[in-house]
Amino acid sequence: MKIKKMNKKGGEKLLSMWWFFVLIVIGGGIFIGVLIYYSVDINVNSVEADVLAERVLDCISDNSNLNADIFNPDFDIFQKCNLNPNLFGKPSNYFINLSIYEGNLSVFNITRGDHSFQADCLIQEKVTANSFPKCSRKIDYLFYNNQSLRVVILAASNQQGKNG
Amino acid sequence: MINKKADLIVLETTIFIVLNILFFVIILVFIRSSSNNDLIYEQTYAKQIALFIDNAKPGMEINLDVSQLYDIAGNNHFNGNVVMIDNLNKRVKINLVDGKGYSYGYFTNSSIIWSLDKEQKRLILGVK
Repeated sequence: MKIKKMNKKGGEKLLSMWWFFVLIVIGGGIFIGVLIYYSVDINVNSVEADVLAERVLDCISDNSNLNADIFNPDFDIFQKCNLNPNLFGKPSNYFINLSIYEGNLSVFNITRGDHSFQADCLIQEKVTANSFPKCSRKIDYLFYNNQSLRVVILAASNQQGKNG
Repeated sequence: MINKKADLIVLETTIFIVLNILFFVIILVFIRSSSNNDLIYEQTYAKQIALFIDNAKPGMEINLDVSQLYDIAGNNHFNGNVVMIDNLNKRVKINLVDGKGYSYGYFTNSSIIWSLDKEQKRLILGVK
């Protein structure tokens, strides 16, 4: 009898503190959710690293043959691949490592950009790290003097856009 | 006495319904204004164009539909260049409001010849 009376009283009171509390919780939840969803940064660093690696592979190869210029002491990867050398100084948001192997023997190795990205790429293969540079590894086999050489390209990008 | 109590209930119910409607209208307006966030479009287009440039080979010409950018800029009453390519600093800049805009760099050393066709709402890029 007492319960029935309490419910009746509760049903009459529409503008209660609890109703305002529910509105604040629902409104706050939607507000935070929308802000998180629309403030997310569009990260294209992995695509950029992939394009960079593909570009390097493309410029050192010629119909499945390794471009002979690569073993020239004057070889300039920036000129050959039409890359902006100013972006690969220090500090840099980019990294390229080009390694060529004859069997297990390394016959060529060149690294440009931020060298610390190489370690970051190895870590990224094991764990996901959001603020780390995004990496792309390309492996291909190219012919040079009738020998098949294994070409490994590791490229990374950590470029952030600028407001303004 | 009964009439006074009934009036109070009607008033309370009316306030309750009005406040509820107001609450949902505010939420919908907020979601709509957030989804029209210019920064997202500035970011998306700047990064897409920079990737197009990085992927392009010398001699290529790229013709891009940028009508969405013009529509947003029009809504913001912005009449300036929505796309700018800075060949010196190697950056693509998108501006949809009369403010700072958003820029993203490209790593290729090629010179980019660009022009905006405001009538067709297209961006024409030539890679040298």
